[in-house]
Amino acid sequence: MILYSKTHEYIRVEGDKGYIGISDYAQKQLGNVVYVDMPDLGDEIEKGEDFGAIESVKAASDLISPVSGEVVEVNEALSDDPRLINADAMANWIIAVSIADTSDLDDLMDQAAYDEFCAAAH
Amino acid sequence: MIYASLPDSPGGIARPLPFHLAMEEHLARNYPDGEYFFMWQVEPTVIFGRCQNPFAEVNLDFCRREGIQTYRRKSGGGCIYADMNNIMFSHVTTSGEVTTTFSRYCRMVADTLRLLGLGAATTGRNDVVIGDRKVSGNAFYHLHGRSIVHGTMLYDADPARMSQAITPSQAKLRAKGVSSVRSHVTTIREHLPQLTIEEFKQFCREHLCDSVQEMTPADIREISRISEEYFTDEWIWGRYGNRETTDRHRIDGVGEFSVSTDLIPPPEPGMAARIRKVNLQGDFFLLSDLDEGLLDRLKGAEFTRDGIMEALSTASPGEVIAGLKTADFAKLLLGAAPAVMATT
Repeated sequence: MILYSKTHEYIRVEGDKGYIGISDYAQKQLGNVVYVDMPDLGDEIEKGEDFGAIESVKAASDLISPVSGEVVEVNEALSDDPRLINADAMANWIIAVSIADTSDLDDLMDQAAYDEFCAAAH
Repeated sequence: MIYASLPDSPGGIARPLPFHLAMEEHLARNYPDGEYFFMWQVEPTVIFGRCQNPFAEVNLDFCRREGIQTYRRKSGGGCIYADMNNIMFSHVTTSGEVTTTFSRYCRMVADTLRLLGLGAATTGRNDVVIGDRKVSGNAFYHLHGRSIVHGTMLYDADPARMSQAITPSQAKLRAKGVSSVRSHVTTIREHLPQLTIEEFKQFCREHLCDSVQEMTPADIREISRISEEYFTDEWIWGRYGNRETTDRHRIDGVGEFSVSTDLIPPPEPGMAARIRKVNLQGDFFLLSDLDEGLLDRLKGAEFTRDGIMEALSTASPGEVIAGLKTADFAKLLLGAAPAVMATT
């Protein structure tokens, strides 16, 4: 199950774990990604709060967490090659968290709702 | 556009950079509608980009000697030097589409300069140029549904001092993070020597804005609160451990070194960073215990040539790594080494 936030992060839910990244739409908006600032393993992150930043040739943007929880994986490949996000934003998640409370997912959008949300932004 | 106007600070002393960056955030977060613009100046300050490693991009020794403040901003891009002759432009907008917002803003700035008779144009790198020289560089920060575009506007400049402040004393450390792109600059004053800085600001304000929003004491309290984050060591020197740098060098006759240096940030602006830990790997020939003979002695040493030489004053690097001399080792640590370094 993949869900999206209004700030263009996605979370791919697998059991009680969620893989968080930025959407393909966000990736296209940012252009070439040059750096991803990621939290450390074990950090506690909060829904609606920033857990890092992503910088492209054009802009720096906060990464906003769609859920609260503990960081259980960090995609280290991005520190060597941040452009993996441009190559495939959905496959190249940024962090994985253990989801503390699944009700955090309730206000997120499914693919159809998110597509509509992006279309409306234009 | 609405001009966000700030009363003069008590005593007329320029407010530090974090205050103004916090004012942008305050407008973005708490004034959700409308397009805002304001101009500000700071005492000599080096500002590095969101994801930059200041140890690799800034001449921290020079800044310390000259009393130049150092801060990190939340927008992307490279490091800049600013002083009272540089006018910072801040623009807060609801528009979220990066490319459009950016180019619209840069065009607006260039148009303003053209009205003064300057041959200004925008470039693909988010700069505004006069002729082929940069007069304004701009950066973008995106937060919850709002965008901040801000940049420099050089009214006057001392290019030598500017370039000294933002060129690391050590040849570039190949650190993770975003590198700066250096450009030739020009200034408004170079082209319009009769126009004072205050007249120039007045012109920009009148041309770009048609109404005013005065910042109240409550606004100023909130701005000060937001600004606190920008003063913390954690924010300035790197939240996510990007002060660790790794570099590879070869010392002829000794071997190849991969050096990673973890630094403790200076306790206050104007002081030197210290070494937390150094790791060495490579194909050099080890004669005795590396930590005991060499690396442990560096812990806590100032990350300067003198600091390292002093920490190693009783060490004998040649007895730890075959052929290694103290001065070469210091150079290696400071990243002064070119790709190939001769042992002299």
